[in-house]
Amino acid sequence: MPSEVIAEDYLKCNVCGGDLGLVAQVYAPLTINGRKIDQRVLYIFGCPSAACGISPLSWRTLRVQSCNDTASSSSRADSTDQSEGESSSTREEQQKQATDWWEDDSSWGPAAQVNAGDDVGSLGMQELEAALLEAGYAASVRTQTESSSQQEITVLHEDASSSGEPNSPDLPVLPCFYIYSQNESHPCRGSRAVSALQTSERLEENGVAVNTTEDGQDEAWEGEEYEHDQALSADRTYLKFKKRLDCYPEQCFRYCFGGRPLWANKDRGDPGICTICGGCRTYELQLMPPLLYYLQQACKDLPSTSYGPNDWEWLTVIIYTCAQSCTRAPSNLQAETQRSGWLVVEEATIVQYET
Amino acid sequence: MAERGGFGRGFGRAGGGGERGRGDRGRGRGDRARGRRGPRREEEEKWLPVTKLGRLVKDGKIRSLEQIYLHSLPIKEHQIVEFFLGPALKDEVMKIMPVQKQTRAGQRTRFKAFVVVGDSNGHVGLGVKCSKEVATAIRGGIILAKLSVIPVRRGYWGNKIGKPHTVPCKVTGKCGSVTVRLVPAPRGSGIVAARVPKKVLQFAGIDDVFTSSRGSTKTLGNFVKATFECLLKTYAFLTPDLWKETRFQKSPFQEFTDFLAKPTKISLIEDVEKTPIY
Repeated sequence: MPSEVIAEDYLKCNVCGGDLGLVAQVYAPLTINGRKIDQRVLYIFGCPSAACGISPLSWRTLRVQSCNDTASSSSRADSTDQSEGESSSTREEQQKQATDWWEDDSSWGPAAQVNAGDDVGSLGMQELEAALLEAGYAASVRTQTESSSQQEITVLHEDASSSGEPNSPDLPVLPCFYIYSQNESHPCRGSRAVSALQTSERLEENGVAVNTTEDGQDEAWEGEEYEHDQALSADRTYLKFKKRLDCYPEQCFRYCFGGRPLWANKDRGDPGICTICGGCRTYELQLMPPLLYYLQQACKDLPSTSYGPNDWEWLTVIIYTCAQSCTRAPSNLQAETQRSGWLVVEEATIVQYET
Repeated sequence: MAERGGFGRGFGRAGGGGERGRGDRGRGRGDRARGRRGPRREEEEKWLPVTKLGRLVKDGKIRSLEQIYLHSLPIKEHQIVEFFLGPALKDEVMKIMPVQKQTRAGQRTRFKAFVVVGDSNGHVGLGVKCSKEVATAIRGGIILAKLSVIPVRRGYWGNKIGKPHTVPCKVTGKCGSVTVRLVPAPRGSGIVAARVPKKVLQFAGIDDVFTSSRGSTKTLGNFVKATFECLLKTYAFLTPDLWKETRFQKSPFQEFTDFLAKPTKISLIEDVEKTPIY
């Protein structure tokens, strides 16, 4: 996709006017209403200037989607407007390698060869995405969804932030990581049930009475009722968030189109409605704190400038996209989208902080 | 000493995980009731910090837990407490009680675990967790207890010889209808209290104290929470030796970033870093 399609001011921070850094590039094909959308990428931008990345207004998500369903498969979105500070030639070379990989769907590429900003799901993970999509589609149709029917993909290891062909050398660039994804198994089931049995047996050995109506001493305790989780400085919502995180401590992304986000605190933002079709937005993916940790760890080795993710302090960034993933551009953009064949839409980004 | 509990995990995984030193981070030795030998995924053991304070702790920028208490920073990750207190932190399940709820299909029983953690040297935490299974309640209770670890101030009854051994003054705490009052006691008195709050006081590192309680102490939850509230108040009480003007220090958030994140409360606890000078 040619980089001129994205309007210049989409890439500027709302708050400080500086350039936004690309945080994540997610290739997310969908099947909605029987319509198969292959050419669909989400770009998540954040402002790395000092003191600016805190405000939710300095974060932006763009959905870039092809208008023509018959677009050739080689025109994948593989470039953005971010530059590289250093080693641009090697980066370009790797970029070419990346396009080769995309054409060859079955190749995964070993993790060692990474660094070319590959996306979630683009390297032969279509079957995973497909399984997810069925569930996701079903979820968006039904009003009530059970969590067991949704397979959430928690993307593990490290994040993908890519950089593309250089345009100008002073745009900020974040370090690149590789990402792989896997399905999440709900923490209530699985290995914990086995360990639960063993521990309660151990307790019986130790003499801690589990079913207590009588005690060794003359104590009669009574009057206990169910109590929700509480700690000195953490409320129930955050405790649930942390529990899911602890099951997969390295998760950087959570993806489930049409699913339910994992809230970190009680104030839910308002995702608003789609700017193009006016339809409602649904949850698609969210960024998780280990991503921040990895980015900051990588950045602390580089020479310190004022650009960097070191000021970011969010707990999670939740992305809502149009539920129909619409393609009909409004009239003012119609000519341009028909000319280039790509639609660029800004989607809702909600940032949650520590309280 | 591989009988049960604590070392089970280290031994059970010695073959698989090589030496990762898992026993040294407060999981192995202190946890008698948690000797899981079942398969547990390796990646669950890593700690990737979630909060800003967690990232600072992992980087080693925070010297001790007292620095966190000094600035009243909320501790939102139990791994932070494990990082500082490590193997000294012991935990114990005080009581597991079934709580029942009447449903159309009969009664639904869940288990409520009361867990206390502490290092017997000025840090104690209390956790209460309800769950359908006992082990889940215990594990959750331990995590909640670690999240609630507080510093406990100790003082003298009379002569200021040796180490502080009792509460610095009479403090009282209330939860529900239960009020608990802790009164300083001379050395050698021991902890004069009912069995359950005695456990909390032992884990706090208080050697001698007189207690007096009032209200419906049959409710275990309120009773232990009232005791915990008392211990919380030991550092909130302004005694004459704290009359000296506070020398404010920079909060770790300000020290390590270039901008002011959010205003942190300047707390009353000035000399938490060192024992109060008598």
